[in-house]
Amino acid sequence: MNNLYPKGHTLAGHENLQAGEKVMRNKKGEKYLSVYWFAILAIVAVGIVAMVLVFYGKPYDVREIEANVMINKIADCLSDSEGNLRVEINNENVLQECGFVLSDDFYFEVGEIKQGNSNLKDSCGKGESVVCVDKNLYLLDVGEIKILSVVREHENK
Amino acid sequence: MRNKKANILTENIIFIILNLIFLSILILFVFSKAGGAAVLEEKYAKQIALTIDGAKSLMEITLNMEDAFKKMDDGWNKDDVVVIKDNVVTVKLREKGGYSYSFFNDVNVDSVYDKKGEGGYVIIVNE
Repeated sequence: MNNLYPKGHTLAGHENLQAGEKVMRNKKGEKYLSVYWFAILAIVAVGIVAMVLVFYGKPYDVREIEANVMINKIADCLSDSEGNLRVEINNENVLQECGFVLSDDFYFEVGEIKQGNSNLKDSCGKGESVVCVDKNLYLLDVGEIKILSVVREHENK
Repeated sequence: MRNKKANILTENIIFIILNLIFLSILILFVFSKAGGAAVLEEKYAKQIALTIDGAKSLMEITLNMEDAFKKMDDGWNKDDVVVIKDNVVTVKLREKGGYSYSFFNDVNVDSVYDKKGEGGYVIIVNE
């Protein structure tokens, strides 16, 4: 334990104390109250507190799950029971037919059908402001069609 | 000589105890942040919103929220913990707090505290 601190370093510069009881007391003091030891404890504490605050300060990111759920619902909605495209669905009635209430935080695109905040599409691949997910849907009559879904963070604390 | 050894032992014990106290305080801080009411409010608000997004009409979904109820403010009514209104889920465990998250599925949803169950909430998706 005595090797923990550099020789001659004490809390308040008491190197010149006389021998005897005062020196013994000072040795105990330098072990427990050393500036170096408190500095190490403070660094560890600050580090852990900072890491915890950074980790729990960020919201849970569920945008990718939301985008996937949206794609699944669009795929269910666009295809009929036989696996063909429902041709009656177009850009005007897609929200009603598929049962969506889209705020400015969502955007999706399937062929000619484009709904939601179209500005979000421009942010795809540029940072973490939006999450973009695209998947291919195969339909028996028209073949493969691409579904793009974009979601922005939309928490309301 | 024996007295000196005893002194060293006492010093070491005190030193270890102080370190353990310091570590305990840090661990308590981490656990208080990890399982706090604010974290649980966010977790359940998003979980319920995603559940509703993926749900179909006439579904009834039971969600176990026992851990959230334990963190609830004293006197706060369990019936008021989950409120779903205008496509927004709000989970509120405290007088000053709460977390809201919106969903895109155009369905009419009711949330009912399951008094018969064990700390559950029932999310009813209507047509």
